[in-house]
Amino acid sequence: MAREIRYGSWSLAAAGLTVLFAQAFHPSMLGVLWAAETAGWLALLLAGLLAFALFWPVAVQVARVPGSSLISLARETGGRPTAVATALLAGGLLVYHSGLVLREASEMAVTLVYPHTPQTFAMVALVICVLYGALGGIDAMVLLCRSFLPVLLLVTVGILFGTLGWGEIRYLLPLWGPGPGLLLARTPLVVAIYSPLLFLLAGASRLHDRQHLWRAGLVATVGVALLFAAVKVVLVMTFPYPLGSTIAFPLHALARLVIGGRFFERIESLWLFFWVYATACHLGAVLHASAAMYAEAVGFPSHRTAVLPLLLTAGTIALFPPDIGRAIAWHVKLAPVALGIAFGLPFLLVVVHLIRGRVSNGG
Amino acid sequence: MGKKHRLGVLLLLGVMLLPGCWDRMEVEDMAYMVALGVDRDEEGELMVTVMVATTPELTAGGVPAPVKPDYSRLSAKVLTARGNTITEALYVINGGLTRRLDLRQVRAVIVGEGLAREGLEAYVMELTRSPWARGNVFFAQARGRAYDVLARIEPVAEVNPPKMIEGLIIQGKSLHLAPPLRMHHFLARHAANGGDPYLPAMAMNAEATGSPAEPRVSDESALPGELPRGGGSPVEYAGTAIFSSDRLVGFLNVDQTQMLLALRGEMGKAYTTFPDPDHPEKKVTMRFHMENMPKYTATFRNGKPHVRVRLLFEGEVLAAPGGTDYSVPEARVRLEEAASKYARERIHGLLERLEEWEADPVGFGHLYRGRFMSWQAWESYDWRTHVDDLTVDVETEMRIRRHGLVVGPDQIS
Repeated sequence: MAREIRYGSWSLAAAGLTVLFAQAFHPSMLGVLWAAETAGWLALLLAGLLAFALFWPVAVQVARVPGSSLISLARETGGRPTAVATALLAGGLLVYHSGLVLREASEMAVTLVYPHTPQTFAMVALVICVLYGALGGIDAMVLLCRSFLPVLLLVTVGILFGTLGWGEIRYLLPLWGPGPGLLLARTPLVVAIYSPLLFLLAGASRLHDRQHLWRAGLVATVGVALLFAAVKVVLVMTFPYPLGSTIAFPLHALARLVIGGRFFERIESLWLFFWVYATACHLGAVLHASAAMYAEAVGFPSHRTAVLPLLLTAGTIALFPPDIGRAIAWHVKLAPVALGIAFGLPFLLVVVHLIRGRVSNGG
Repeated sequence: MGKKHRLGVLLLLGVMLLPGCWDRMEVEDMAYMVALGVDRDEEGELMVTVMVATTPELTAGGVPAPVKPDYSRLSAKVLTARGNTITEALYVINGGLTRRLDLRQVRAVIVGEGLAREGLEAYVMELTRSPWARGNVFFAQARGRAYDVLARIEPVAEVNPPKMIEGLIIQGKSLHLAPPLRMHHFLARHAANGGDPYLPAMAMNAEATGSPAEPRVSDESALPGELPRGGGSPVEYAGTAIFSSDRLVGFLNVDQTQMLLALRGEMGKAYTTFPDPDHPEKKVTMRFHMENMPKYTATFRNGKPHVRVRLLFEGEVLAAPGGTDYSVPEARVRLEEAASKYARERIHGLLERLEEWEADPVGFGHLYRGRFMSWQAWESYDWRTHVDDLTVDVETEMRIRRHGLVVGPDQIS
């Protein structure tokens, strides 16, 4: 019997921040921002605020239903079929997301880490994911993400500061990128970056103070929006648009420019080390969230039963894109779908739940 | 966690470790390429020159030497190969080496003049695409062939050529003989729509092999490869190569290089010599730097870009052989005005040259980027087609603050 652990909303916020920010290590995150041109940082900030605005009513409502999770909200709203459908859509989105991230991670490994042994890294990444998702569970995930967050922040901020001298602030102009109208029209798609927030809704049932689930969402979205925006600012300053949009691994490219003296010259080696852990946290968390959703929807006693099939599914999806370019393109194309499932679906459930509650109260 | 689980975790960790380093590369199996030169030869082929550090004292037969290595015996070999791309040429060179050659230890990349006049974008992008070459390697433009620079370099006050290249670059940077640039600077400035890249220049000075130095042919600052010096290495690092887009269009001398850096707000402490206002046949030497960043006002005049720039310098008198006491306020003002006028004339000369080359290494275009509401509007304006229309008003001011260790005229009796 595993030891019962319950964490607070700050711990969940830290985990959410880690999981969301780990995407900065992958090309697709910045790929979504190509449309924002020189104003990517602004699009990220606006998208972060929009993501929280959509998440907040869901968090408030989820905290009120028995079970305190997205699936329990779906069950309360439309019974078991709705819960299963929600698990299929929300969990499916996370598995698809995991598959593409796994592919990008493997491609990064092939390009950067083990140019001669790509299969080795793919296997290592898979093993780490199994350890995290299957053996760790949500409590361990939260604790691990929380403990990893300071290191992640330190490394990222260190790289950004180390790269500042290479950039020129005038490359950020024009500040509106494609112009105010187009920027506002394109920003909603950037919200897709925040779709792993679903992870918080899967872990809410083990939260100490569920009423503050919205706080975890606020810290995660706003914190990540600020961090992403900082990364994007330094990236555009260093690799001016449109050059920056052709750089396959942006944070790695920045790390390669950092000069730490002759003794500490290969900073990106350190970055690669932390990137592996960040990816593992990210993949482990979203895989766990999808497994937890399926398990709850179909009534499995433990999420662990669902982990292996989902991991295999993610691994299969990872093999679908024929090349790294296509993997990034698929991720970008996923943006409208991710927006609809991660934010539209829970929002719809909340609206229907509220309407049905009023009708039943009225009756 | 139960025993079975622990065993499972250990097995999985073991799986992670098992693949290990089966394809590792030992240090003594690698060739250390410290400098790379790229040229277009007479037949139109790409010629790649590499300087490889030879370290016979460090290892003997693949095992570490039992005695302390003699670093004074470190030297370098220069190898060349032809190919369609840099990577292909490196593979060709590997055919005659017992050690693996790659770009990860490269400290400097030097490009030949012929190739640069065709355009460097493809080659810079090839190096940027490589996981081994790094954006922070020193990047220089040869006046002539890169091969000559690498093959003819002779260490002075050094024991090995690789260190000599690095030392030249460091000295050029500290004395502002050439702009301190790395490969990423070229890439970013070429990519940024609003200015043109430039590179530090290296050249082989045939006259420098003799000693003493040949007589000066003019009072003007010399172009790279023509510095009036003698003895030592024939290779020198001075001046700037100017590009229009990614194509080399010309070279600046040291004076013009200083003014370019001043306009960009990147000039540190530099040296200049100009006519003494009280004794025109004599020259005053000053060390000067920028008191603050240049102040720009960018406007459109009759629909054409017009820039006003104000530069404020601070100077220190190092030599005033005319005998005037420039610490006296009235004389100091005369000297300040003369120095200011000299700097302004040098800047005008530089701007005329840039206009002739249709190049914008200062990055005047970036002053206008913020005036456009969107990126598309800025792109459709097409700064490159407006570089010709640009007019620049330059205002300079020199403030002399110090006179070295002697405050007064050069008079002993």
